[in-house]
Amino acid sequence: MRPLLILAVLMLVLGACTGVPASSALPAPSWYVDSARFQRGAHAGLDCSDCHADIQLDDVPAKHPSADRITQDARVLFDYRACERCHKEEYAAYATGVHAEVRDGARVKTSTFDAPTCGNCHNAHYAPAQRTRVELFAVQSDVCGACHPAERATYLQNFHGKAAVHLGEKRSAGCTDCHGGHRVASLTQAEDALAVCQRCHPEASPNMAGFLIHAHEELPAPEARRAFESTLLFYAKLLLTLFVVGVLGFFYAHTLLWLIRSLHRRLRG
Amino acid sequence: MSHPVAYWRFNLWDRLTHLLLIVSMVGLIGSRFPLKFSDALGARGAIALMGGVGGAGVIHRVSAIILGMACLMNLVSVAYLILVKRRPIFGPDSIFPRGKDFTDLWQHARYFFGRGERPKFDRYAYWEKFDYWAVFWGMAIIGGSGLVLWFPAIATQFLPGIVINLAYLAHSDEAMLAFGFLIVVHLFNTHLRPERFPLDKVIFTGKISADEWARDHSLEWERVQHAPGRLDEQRVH
Repeated sequence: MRPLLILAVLMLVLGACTGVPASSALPAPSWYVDSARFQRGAHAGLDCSDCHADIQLDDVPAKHPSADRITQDARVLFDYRACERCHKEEYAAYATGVHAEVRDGARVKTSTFDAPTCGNCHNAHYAPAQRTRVELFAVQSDVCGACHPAERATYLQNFHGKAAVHLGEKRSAGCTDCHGGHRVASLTQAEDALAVCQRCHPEASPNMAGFLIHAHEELPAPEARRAFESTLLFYAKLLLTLFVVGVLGFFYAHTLLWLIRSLHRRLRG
Repeated sequence: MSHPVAYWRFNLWDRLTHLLLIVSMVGLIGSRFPLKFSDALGARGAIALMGGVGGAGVIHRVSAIILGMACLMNLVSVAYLILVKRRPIFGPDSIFPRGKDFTDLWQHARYFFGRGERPKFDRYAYWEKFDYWAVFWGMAIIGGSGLVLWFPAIATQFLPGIVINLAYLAHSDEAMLAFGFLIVVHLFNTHLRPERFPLDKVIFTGKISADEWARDHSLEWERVQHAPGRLDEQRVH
């Protein structure tokens, strides 16, 4: 018993030391800017007007904020073309990704959000610079998951998500490792997926890329992508569960009845 | 028999096999529970203790090889019994299931409800046979799916990628079944039930007392009374 206790304490202590970094999902949109926090972020040192060129600091009451603007989401109002001045590569990459396709109307919007631009993922006021991979795993799981909750859930059920987000394994993969951060890709085409898998698994074959990372163990809509495979997984899961519950149920009942009979016999003497 | 006489029930080889099974099970379950329940309290610490996700993987695979060895060792033992000792495969001493096991189960269930006597068991009672065969069935499903997960690139050279998903499902669910069975049913049936509590040492020492033998495996006991050579051969000196 004693070594077990020591082991448990060790596990808890080690767990606390290597704890999951605090979630830094985007805060609810607000017009308030905490200057002290801003100065600790990646954009510390910039002036407000470096990004908010339409604000004239000497003449704030004249132009900003107006009554019809202040009720709107700051992320919708802000003109993110301002980011391009410093982040040219990222901006160009974004323009060729799936998120930009949604913005430009080339794709159907699938979420209640407006098409995501810079501010939907990046917290420009407070996000720290130089985050580690492990920190980013958790951030991405939250930020991407805000619009893609099903993908977040399936990712966290997968080895990659468990190892990356829960266990802090830096060799695992986060959202953007496969899907890209700025040039965001859905990876619905097999050859695109294969190229991505091969970044870490150079031995991967086209078949291996058919592995469903975001495997939904529920019945898919008939027109859904890879509906047959999802259906197969659903019934496999159902059968396995019935089997496990059946076998354990039978033997647990057997054990319980045996225990009662044995105790009864003992107590009767 | 006035003085306590002990007999050999399990030889050294089979006891060693069982020890390896225990070691491999602890290694297999211990290295993968923190991954399956990776968001549980202590999971990170447990993984850190094993040297990270990679270290836990090494422990898991080494344990899997030990389990495979234990199964091979058992096949050797079975081959010895059949080929050298000339024991009949479907005889009363055999671990193979037979019709009596099902009537024993029915009779035992009636006994649980107070409707009849406890059945007389032979060398292996039906639950002992189930324990034994469950390992082989688990080896087939968990071992097979485990190999797919270990070598996904090789497996998908001739199988579609969805097989990896199926392997994950089967591996995880069957492992939970094995764990749920071992920790409750196997431990209770062999060690924790009031007649045996807290530990039945037979599988570790190999020795069984005449009383226990006559009580728990009465049919075998009665049979060996008529085979004096066998009784002497098994007596612990």
